[in-house]
Amino acid sequence: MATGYNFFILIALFILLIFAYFFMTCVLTIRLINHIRNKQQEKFISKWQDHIFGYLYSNLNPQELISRIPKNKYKYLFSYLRTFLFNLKGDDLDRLKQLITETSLREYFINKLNKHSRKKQVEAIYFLRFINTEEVVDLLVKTLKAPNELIFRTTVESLAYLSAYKNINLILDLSKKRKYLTKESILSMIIKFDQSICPILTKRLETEKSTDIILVIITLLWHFKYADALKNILNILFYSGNKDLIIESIRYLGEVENLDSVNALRFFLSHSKPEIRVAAIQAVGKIGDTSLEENIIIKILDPELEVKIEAAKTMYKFSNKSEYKLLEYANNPSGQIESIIAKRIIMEKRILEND
Amino acid sequence: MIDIIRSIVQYFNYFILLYFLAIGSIYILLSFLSFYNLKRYLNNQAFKDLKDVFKLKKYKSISLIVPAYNEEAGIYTSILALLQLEYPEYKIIVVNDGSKDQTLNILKEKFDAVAVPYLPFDHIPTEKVNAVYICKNHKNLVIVDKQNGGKADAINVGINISDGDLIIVVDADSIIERDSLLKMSYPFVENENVIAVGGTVRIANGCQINKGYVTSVDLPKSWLAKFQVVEYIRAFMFGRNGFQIMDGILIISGAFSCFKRSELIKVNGFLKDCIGEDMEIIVRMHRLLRKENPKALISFIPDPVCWTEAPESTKILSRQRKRWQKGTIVSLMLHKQLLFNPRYRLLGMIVFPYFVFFEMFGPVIEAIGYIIFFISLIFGMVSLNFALVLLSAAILYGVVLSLLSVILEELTFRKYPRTLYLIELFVIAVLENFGYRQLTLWYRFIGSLEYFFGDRKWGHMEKKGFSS
Repeated sequence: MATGYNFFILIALFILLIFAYFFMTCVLTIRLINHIRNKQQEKFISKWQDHIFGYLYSNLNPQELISRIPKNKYKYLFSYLRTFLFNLKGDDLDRLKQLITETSLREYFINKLNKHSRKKQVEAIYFLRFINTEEVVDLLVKTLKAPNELIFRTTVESLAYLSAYKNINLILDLSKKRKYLTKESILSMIIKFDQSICPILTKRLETEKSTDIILVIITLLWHFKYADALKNILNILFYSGNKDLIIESIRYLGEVENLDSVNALRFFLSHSKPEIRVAAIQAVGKIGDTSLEENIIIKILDPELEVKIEAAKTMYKFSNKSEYKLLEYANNPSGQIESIIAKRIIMEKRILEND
Repeated sequence: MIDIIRSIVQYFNYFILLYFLAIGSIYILLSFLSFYNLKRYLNNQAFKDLKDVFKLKKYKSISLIVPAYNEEAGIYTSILALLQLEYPEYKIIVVNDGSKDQTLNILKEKFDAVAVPYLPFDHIPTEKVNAVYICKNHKNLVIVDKQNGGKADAINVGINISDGDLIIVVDADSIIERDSLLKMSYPFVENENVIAVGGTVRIANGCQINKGYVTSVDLPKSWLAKFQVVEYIRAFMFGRNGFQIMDGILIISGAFSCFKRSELIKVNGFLKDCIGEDMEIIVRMHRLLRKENPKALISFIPDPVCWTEAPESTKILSRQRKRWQKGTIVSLMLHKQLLFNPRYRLLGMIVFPYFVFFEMFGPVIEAIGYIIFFISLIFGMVSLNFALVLLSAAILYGVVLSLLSVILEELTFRKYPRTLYLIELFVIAVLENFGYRQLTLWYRFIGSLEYFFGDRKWGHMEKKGFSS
């Protein structure tokens, strides 16, 4: 082969050697930086821990404490605060929050919202959730328009923490426009609000066209056990052909005991799709309405195994009659599937109940 | 005639050179993608609290399937550890696959098991189930005894019996981090299109293990296991993280993997008697489920969630690598429709072809390349200088890649806390290129030959087990 190749490969070899050396230096430097950072953090805690705890149980002005901490130590302060903001409760938590709400840290975080670094923005959004003022809510609502997923998500969570429920429609509208957000991810953000969002969500059900958003709303209404949405949910249940919507609506009915929901469940116990029958049996089991006793008992003879099992599970301790019937199946020596299911369910429940 | 042979050999050497350049460049590209993916993942995690899942009752119920065959040595400790995982609602289903040792008796006795009638779910056809037991002292433990049918069949029985939203398959001898269920289930909570999730597996040899948990991360004493530490870091940090960006995860480790139960049933579970069933199921899920839902996603979380025992003898290592190679070939051959299929986007156009050319044919090309290279050196078709320089470049390339993966590890999870270990990892990253890589290449080459010339057996894996 030509010597030109040798030269080329020698150059490559040299570059690779440089890279190898560079990488090793990188790793050692990273390790060193982390080591220094950890030491600084430890030093910060050992120096300031007593001051912070002392502040919690005294009348010290929060600004006085914050002004004593040098700005270049803020990152250690924030990571320290985060642990306690998450774990403390009651008066201690309120007092700790004052370190953010009633000091210069408030302006510090507001200013950080405009930084280019996403990491800093996210940190600011996270801490702003402890400052419950209209100004902060407005700033956060503006941040909702940022295209970045992490910023959007953290902002929604902060708004949830601040109970800024009036913005829920805006959040849902913006969520619909973002391709990266799925039904589950929207739900996992919005579920952090409290039940004040329920009336707005119920109203939205009347006009919402997106199946995903409707599903999210029904799940939220189920989660908060919001009974006033029953009428809207029944509408969806009877006029939607979508299986997921029907199952989610039935699950909601399991949380709301009402004559209308009992009648709806009676109807869906005979639905052609087994998954829907299973959901209906589970919902009946939840509300425990014995007027549906016969409808449940008969389901053990359903052609689908899942439905039979769910029926047997519900029959156990649902009513005296259903439990007696289940025992009858269990004692039947025929070896029929219903008998096997009944035996299994009774044994399982009894063994686990005795535990 | 000699001239013709000489020019063929020379062209082949050029081809090998190009091949090495291509694979090296792909790895470099993957490292950048991995870096991006890891950074994104860690930023997302920074302000996330996994335990939110508990508080909001939005968790998915999990069925943890543990296929067990002749696991009497460690089954009790393993199950005890699994019973203490952090998760609100999960059920452990241990499937005894017709063990010839005392596995079943140990389970029955230690966990106070009572036989209950078997409910004949037949979502997936399997070997006969002998008995099902539930445990008086552990409500969430079910033991199943079945006739021997292999790992895939045992998992399928577990799937039939399970009722969780998610299925996690875990090897009886794997060590799971306490919060691993939370981490593995989170992608499903955030995105309904996720159908399977894999996590990072690390080598447990040398680590201190107490009551089924890794309590201190140390490097193994055996050099063979040490090489595998760097190899695993490289494979998970580079490969899987990089392919994740392209929605192209083609393999999830069989030691610990998580699936949406409904989707597993749709694809009829694991393929019985298949070598490398863990890769095959993932490729099949891509092929079948992405037809139905193009957004279907197989995800990977870079967190080290599972620790496994690495072989410490060349005999067992060779069996393992041959099996992996055969598994790769089977999975790719069975689903060759994916090759350059634009319907599967980057997976079909880049990832699958990469696996075919570099993972399936790679060992054969590289091994033949080495042989021809040395032949041409002996017969003077290339100069010694050129040969030495080329060999050094290839080795140095490997060193750089291994070092890059150590950097990624240091930037992210820092599982090896002592600086001495870090220096040792450097040394290993360099040394593995002098012999270990060639050795595993040889095993994979033999594995390919065995596959194409008839021997498609699983190969038995002996494990020493962990002492607690």
